[in-house]
Amino acid sequence: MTDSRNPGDRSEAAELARLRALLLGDEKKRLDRLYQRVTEPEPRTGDVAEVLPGAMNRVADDPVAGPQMERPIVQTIRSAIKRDTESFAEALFPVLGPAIRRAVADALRSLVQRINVAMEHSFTAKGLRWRLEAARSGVPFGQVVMRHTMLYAVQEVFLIQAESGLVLASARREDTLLLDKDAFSAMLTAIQAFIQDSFGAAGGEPLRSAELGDRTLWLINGPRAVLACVIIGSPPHEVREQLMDALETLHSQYGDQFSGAPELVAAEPGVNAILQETLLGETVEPAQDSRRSRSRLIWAGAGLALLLVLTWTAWTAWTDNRLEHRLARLFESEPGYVLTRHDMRDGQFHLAGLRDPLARPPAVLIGETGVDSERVSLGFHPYQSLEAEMIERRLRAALGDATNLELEFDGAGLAVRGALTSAQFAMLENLPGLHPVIRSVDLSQARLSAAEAVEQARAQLSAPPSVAFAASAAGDRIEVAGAAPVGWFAAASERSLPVGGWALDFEPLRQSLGSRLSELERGLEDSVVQFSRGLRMTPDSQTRMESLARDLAELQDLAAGLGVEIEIQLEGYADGVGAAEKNLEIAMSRARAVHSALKDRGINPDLLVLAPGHWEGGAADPQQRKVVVQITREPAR
Amino acid sequence: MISRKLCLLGAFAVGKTSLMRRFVKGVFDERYITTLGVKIDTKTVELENQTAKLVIWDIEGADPADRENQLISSRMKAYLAGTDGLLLVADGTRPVTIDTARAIYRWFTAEFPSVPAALLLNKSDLVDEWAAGEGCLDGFDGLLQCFTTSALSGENVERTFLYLAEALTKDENRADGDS
Repeated sequence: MTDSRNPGDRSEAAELARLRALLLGDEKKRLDRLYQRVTEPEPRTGDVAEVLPGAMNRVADDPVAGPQMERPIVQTIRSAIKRDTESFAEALFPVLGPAIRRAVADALRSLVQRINVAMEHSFTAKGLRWRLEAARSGVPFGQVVMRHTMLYAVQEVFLIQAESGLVLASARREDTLLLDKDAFSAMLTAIQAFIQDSFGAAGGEPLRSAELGDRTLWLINGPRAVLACVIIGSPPHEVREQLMDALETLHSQYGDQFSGAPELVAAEPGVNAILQETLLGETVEPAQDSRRSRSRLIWAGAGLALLLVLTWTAWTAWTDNRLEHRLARLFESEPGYVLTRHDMRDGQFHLAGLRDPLARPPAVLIGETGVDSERVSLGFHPYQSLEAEMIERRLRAALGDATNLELEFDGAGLAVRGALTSAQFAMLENLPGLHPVIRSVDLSQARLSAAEAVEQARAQLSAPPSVAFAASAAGDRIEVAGAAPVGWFAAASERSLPVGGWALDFEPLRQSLGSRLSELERGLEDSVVQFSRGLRMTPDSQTRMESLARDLAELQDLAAGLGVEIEIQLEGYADGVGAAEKNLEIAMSRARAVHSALKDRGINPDLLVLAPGHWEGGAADPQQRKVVVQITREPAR
Repeated sequence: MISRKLCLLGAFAVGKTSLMRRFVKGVFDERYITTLGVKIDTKTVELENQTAKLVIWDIEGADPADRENQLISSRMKAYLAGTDGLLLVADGTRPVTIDTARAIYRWFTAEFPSVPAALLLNKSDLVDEWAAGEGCLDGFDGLLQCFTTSALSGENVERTFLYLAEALTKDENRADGDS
């Protein structure tokens, strides 16, 4: 519809339009919108984008449409790669490297396996040592062999901007000589360029390594950066793989920055960490040496520790064995024990058997050996020992207080020495009939206890309370002392039977009575009975005659009791007036008068002797009218 | 410390190596030894705001007799790759070397449009013998600066290098990797 039409046509067209509007209404608007959507690219692109993923999936699954779709896509990719190889290579760089290396690693692994097999039959000392190392570390034998043949160290690495040759980052060992790394990397880049340029099209492959003496320079080339590695020794090929790994990691993580300012890359901690990793663990031989010396140290240490443990174990075992036997010997020799079993288990000494309850406590015995009682386990059952020592111990226990008692058992007869109570006596006397082993008891050297013996003596002798019985200081006899009627003394001492094994010693009582005798003798000596005239005694003398007679009676009793012969001489005196004969006669008469008076008073006349006194004649002395008593002892008959 | 690559380029025998030796080592050697390939040296310089290490590539001289399209060999191009700055050197006593420099500059600005470049008219100690006259700097549009230098006396050598160093370290494009 253009403006070239005439006005009639235009009105007709307007009419038609109106008619269309009337007939189609809203449909017209919708048709317009559809038309616009089909003819304009923008809405169509949107529609296609909406359905394209679903359609692609369906095509991929379709066995007919799938291969048809494949062809144009492959062709497009091919032509794109031809057009821009560089971009594709760069994009695939981080992917291809690991994939290739994985394949190579698999191939190497099978190679290692073959080496393994080849080495299986090698029995060199080194081979055996490496085999031992492989077994110890769990690393395959082939890898151990490879490790031992590697002698290298990555000394220094530079990450170099591929284009400019500027150093992006670097890492080095501490012992590396300082280089002008910027000049070095720039020159390296220049050499790369020079070589590549010199070989023209064939030099498309970049320089990979250079060698000088024992130093090797490896260049790991990436699209944006080169990793230059200064290596000492001969590195194995797998090191290059590790370095390539590192460069790929660097590219994938920091590749975008590699074309920018070097200092920004150098400031990345991650970059330096990765570079550092390419150095560490690469010094195989020294590490191996240190590993070996460390390993030796560890083995030496372990050996020493083992030796110490063995020594300690042996020493402990020997000591324990010694202690066990010491314990066993002690318990075996100890009265009241029967050891049936002894051993050493779990660090404990086990002792088992029988034990007399009266035997010494086990703790005391264990203490004597010096063994820690916590380490001793005991299993003793009670029994009654018939060993002589245990019999004696049991007897002593039965006798009660028997500290001073001596018991001697010869296997059949028991000899007892010392003091016993009457109850103990009774028990011991009955023992032979009751005891399983004791056939006889000898009590001849045993005696009653002092206290009991004293009581028994007092009772047997009917001793008056004034008599004292006491064990002598030497403990060998009972001494009888104190005061007693001389008659009792005579009778008792006459009997003088031992009481309960104790001898009675009357000497103290005898001395006491003897002293009384002497005292009486002294008191009676020169006693005077005064006469007034003729044979008549003075009243005083008559009175005194009673006491004289009593003392003399006591004297005669004591002398008789003590077995002392005495003589009581009665000397008669006269006053001297008159004839001598007369005086003598009267003197004798006076003596007889006293004799008669004493006899009357119970004095034994056999002891009385009459004798004339001696006096001077010629002078009358009434005091001489007297009788003087003289006592003399006769020697013992 | 930052590091930057700086290239010396020009016709042969204009004194590129002597300029570098003067700048780096402060000495001058009367002997002339042609540079084949490239000589590289470094120098750390104190700039206005920072310390920088200049890696100086003294690239072999171009032959003024070569046609313009053969002036820059593929090897030279490889050496120039990634440079942060260019010092074009010409011999004031030999005008042809200025022509060579001009031709190189034309090529360079096309290949490295944002990399700063300076021109050094060397051998100012022989200024009496200079043949270069007015108009010799025509065709160096966009050139950063032109200096007259003498490797023999050291005139302007340090100044020139430092000037370019300041310029290229301030060049923000470097960080964007658009060299």
